[in-house]
Amino acid sequence: MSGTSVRARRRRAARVSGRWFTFAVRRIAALVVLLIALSFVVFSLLYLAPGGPEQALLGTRPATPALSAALREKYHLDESFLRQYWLWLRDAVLLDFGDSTRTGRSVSASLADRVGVSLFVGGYAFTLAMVTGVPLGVVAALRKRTVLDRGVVGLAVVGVSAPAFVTGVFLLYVFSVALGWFPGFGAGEGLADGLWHLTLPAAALALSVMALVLKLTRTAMIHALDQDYVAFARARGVPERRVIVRYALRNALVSVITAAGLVLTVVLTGSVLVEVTFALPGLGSLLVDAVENKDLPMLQGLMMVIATVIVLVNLAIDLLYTLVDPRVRIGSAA
Amino acid sequence: MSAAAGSRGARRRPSPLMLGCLLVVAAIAACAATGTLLAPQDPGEQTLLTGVQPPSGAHLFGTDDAGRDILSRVIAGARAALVGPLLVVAGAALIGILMGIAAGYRGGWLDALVMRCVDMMYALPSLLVAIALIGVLGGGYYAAVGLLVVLTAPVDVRIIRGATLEQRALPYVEAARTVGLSQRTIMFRHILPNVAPLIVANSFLNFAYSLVTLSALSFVGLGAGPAEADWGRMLSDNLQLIDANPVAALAPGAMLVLLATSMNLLGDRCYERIFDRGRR
Amino acid sequence: MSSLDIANSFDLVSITVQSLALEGLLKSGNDLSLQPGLAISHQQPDPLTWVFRLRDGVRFWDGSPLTPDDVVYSLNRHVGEKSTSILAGYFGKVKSVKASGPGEVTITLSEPDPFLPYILVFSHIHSKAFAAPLGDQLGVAGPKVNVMGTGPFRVTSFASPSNLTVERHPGYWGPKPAVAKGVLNEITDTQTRRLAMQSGEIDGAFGVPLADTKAWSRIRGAKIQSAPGMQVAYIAMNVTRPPFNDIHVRRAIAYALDKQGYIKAFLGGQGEPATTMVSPQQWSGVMDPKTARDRYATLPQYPFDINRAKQELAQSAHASGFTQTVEFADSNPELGKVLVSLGETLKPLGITLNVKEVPKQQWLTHKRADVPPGMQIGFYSPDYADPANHLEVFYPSGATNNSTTYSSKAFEAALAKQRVAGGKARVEPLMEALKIAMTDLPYLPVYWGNQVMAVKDGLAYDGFNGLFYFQPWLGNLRRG
Repeated sequence: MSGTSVRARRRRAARVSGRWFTFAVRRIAALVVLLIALSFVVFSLLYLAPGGPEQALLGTRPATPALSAALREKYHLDESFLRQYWLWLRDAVLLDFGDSTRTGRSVSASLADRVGVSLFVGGYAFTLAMVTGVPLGVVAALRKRTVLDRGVVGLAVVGVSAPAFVTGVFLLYVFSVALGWFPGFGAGEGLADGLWHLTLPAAALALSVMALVLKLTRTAMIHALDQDYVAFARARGVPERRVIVRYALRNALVSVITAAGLVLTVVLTGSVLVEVTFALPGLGSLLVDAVENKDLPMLQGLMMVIATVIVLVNLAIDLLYTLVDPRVRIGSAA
Repeated sequence: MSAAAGSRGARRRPSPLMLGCLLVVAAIAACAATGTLLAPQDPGEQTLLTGVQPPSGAHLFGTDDAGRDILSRVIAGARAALVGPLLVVAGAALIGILMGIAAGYRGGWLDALVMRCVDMMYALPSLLVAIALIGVLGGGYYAAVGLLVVLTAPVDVRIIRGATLEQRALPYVEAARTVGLSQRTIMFRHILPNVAPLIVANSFLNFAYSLVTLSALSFVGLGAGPAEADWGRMLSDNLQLIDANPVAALAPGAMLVLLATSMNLLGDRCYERIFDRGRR
Repeated sequence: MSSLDIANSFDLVSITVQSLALEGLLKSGNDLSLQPGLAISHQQPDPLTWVFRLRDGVRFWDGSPLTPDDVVYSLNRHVGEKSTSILAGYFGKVKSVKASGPGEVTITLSEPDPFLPYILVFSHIHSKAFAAPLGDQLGVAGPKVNVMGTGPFRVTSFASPSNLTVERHPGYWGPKPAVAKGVLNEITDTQTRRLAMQSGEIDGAFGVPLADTKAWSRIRGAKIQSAPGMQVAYIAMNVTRPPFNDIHVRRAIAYALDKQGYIKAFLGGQGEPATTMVSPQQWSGVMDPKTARDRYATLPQYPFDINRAKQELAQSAHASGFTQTVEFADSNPELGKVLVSLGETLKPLGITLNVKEVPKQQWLTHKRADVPPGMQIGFYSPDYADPANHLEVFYPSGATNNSTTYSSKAFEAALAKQRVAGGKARVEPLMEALKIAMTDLPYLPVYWGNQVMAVKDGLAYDGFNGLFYFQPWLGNLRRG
């Protein structure tokens, strides 16, 4: 290769990385605006709650003049609305969302208590869904529009069409009560015990996400198998197994992983029902608990943290994707 | 299998599976249309002293703890099962059409604004938001339906915008523009019919999703009222009767799963059709 | 379980765990009677002064001895205008708590309060040296145990509010419990709770949902026990708000309540139709429950009779019926079922009940509003075993739980009369008060619900009673 072409390529690379950088900055700026808008909505909840902010902060405690005064002081209720929002936001950035009205424990500490279980179950369910969904999606794509394809997709769709609390109770009956293979509740201690305890909840959760992974893989696989490079590889006499794994699946997986943010959102959503069903001390059951007790500081903290996590994961995926696959046009991000 | 063999046929006959799905939807629609006419008994009629009973000749699906006939309540529940999700689907489609076509066709700042809003909504797990908002603000079932409209609409907006972008580049739109047709006419008389199949396909999936989500809200006590003959409500209420009369929970549960599965499969098939047509 | 500090958490689940670790000056016995606790004896030199003699040799878990200072500190948290304690209302008549000598504490009242000893059962004594620096973090869950008590069980971990572990307190002053270690889980979902029992993962459970007792009794390897009901389910009506300002409307609804039916259908038979707000068990300190039941037969009765309900409504100003929204707290699903069933019964009368399920907090807020909703439904667990308990909290105007705007001079006179009378002399004024209550009908008692628990085979629980949650109940468990 000649020297000029190397330089040209380097120049092009610099231009691309520069463009990537501006793209990243723009995405992050948009994200900050988005989170601020979201925080405004979340903060306003306090004022939208029937009975007003003071009632909301009292929770189920009876109003005494002393307690009301303490709450007004602590949450700056006598300041103007915008100033209150500013003070709240300033604390929220430092992860200080006030204290739970029910337990008196600080919201961030309560979230920290619970986040482990949710991450464990979510990660476990995500893995299960990927491990089962991707191979089944490949099989369905290879046997496109046969009985096998229809059957596999159909079963997965049943999984997503059943509410997670029903799947949960069903699994509990079969594997915990009838067969006694798995414990029915509790999060367990340590990795092995945790895996054993959280298999049923993770399975219930995975069932509601698997269909999504399966369908994504199937579509991406069908698309990939249709591409010219696959046809060329086959024409060159590359063994079929190699064609499928090295050429088609690798390319299909890129788009499956792009959808990881979506899968994560579905996992988080399903975790509420599953955690309540299996009595797991995670963020989902905390949310239901907070609603039941109208624990507003807790709700605000939960919503901000969950939304931030989802936004960050989506951003990370977007940025990685544009790095990995330069075909993606930067600038028209949708 | 005919579906496999006929994949290149010009007009494929629907597969038995699709026929089954259509049949499920039709049967449930018939129950919903006739109201309680098909029900053997008044779904609210109670006999507290006999209470929960397993299936028998008098009550094919048995009764619940208040002695109400499960079969009649399942039939009566068809209406709620269709109405709630249909409202969500219609609302989301309407928003999707208005905002999606406008954003896709006009582009520019409008597009940017709409898509930033859509991004924001995408960052929200809708069930969690629904639980939090309805829990704090109250409002019950119809608040849940309204909220689900807002939360599912971004999906419609994004899909329709994408399709509109594709259509805008096609010669017929260019032609319409040179002839001097108004923007509104081009958007709604010319582009809309071409993106409509996509809206229909997506609506099936939205339907299934909102049906399941509304039942999940019943499970945490924020969905349909306790007096309603609502499948999600019956399912979560009657789970505790599972020893005395399993059918009391299984029947509404099975109907729910059946309807959601049918809608999901119909939606998938619609997408497949659109995809096939696009390739030909 | 929200927190281990009763000043912040006065709900049943929290109290149930607090009672293992913390003690009051008095104790609640298995027979519902008051017994000496951290105070070995008490005297009342005059109606406004109570002098408590503390037990010798009581030690906190860290080995430090119980002093009058600890008692004064702990009780004063509930006293005075500035108190933010949930119990502040119960301490409204307390003027001061003072150490009056070695091993002695004196409580001075602003007016006589016969219920003070009962309140002292659950007014837990904390170690001042431990609690004072913690401030509002006392009893809060966390990596460190934020509580120090004298109870028979020491809290070894309370990392999250759904899970707590306890161990036997070796220096406990009382008899040594048979249980050495306990793990307490809060399993909110009733299905999961039963499945946990069924799979043998838990040794016992409180709060068996009454609707579900049949399924629980069929669990192999476990047995259920029930204690006669002291909790009352009731319908409250705002007596100054139409249509419930009309006594005929209130009576019509009273006759439309199929109490027997509700108990059979929704409580698995675990309850008794209530004829007053006060369950016969509540009388155990004054007379035996059977006699109380006999006396109740002489009070105004409202048996389920749809024709009489129709007649009453016809006599009211709302003869053609009305529409009313009623809320129930989602923590009491059986009350929702009662309402839906009542609504079905009332339909032919032209009365439409819109039944709404709401979070507990919303239900509470509405009930406590200045203008309470026309109709409410609720469920109340007793604070102590005395017939005046529910009468004091529900009926007098301005009482903490009066959500009916009901106010009756005659009722309050009868109630005042029994306050100064002692022992058996209280029966007549109490019955008089009940008669007025059941004639004016601001509240319609529905049923007295049982307490039901389950234990694994091979274990036995002695002396299960309607106030178990105020006892160090884990000590009642033994092999057998």
